[in-house]
Amino acid sequence: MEQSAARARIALAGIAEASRDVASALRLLSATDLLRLEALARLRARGLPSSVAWSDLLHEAIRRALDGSRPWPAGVPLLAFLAGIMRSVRSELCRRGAHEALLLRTDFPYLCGPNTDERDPERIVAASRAVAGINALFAGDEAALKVISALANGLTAREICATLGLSETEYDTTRKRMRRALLRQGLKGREPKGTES
Amino acid sequence: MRNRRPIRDLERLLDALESELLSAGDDEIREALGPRQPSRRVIEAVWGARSAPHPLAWPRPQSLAGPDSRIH
Repeated sequence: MEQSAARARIALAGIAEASRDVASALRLLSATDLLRLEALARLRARGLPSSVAWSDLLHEAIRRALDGSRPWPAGVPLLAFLAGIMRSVRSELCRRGAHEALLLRTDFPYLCGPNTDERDPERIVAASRAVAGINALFAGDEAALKVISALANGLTAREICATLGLSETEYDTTRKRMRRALLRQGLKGREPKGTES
Repeated sequence: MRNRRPIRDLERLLDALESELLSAGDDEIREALGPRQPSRRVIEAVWGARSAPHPLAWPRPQSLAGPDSRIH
């Protein structure tokens, strides 16, 4: 009994220490860091149901970082750590949505139409819209769209330059243009109802 | 199963763009956004965490709190 109490005390002490680290690092974030964090959260919220706001993802990521349910690996910058948690939260939400869609299809097949093989069709539609929305951020910049597509397919910088016939400078300039559009356009967007700032 | 490609495409795209955002320099962000300040919502999220009495008491966003109150 005493041993388990001691273990619990040690675990709680660990959580408190981890939360102090995260809280201290949060205190040090600059206005630029906050803009970057917002852009990351807005990006990760794309294609999610409208009931989940980008700020919900961010709150959840911070909560998990603070309560120690996601330990902060040594050497990982705070924003990359929080971005990773937001990615996990998104993935959990998508899995939960797919599971609910499966239950609905099983319990109420007559509501789901003849395509019984079709899984979570709403998610597929939402993803298509989100991809179109992202592409629209770079509308008119064919080179940026091609570079993004190549990056998304896992090509290296050298492979992208070779495939698209870009010099190293052209590649860097295109990526910079792409990041600028992502920041400028990506930070514009709808706030959840009743929460506009 | 019908075409799930848009889902995969989106996830890959998000990963690639996230990586771009993380690798952008501070000066690049300032140059892109000029005098723009962080939104109230991001400040609230971070400042709320900064002043939270205890991490375990931190409230969960309503939209993420399912019936089981925790995402598994």
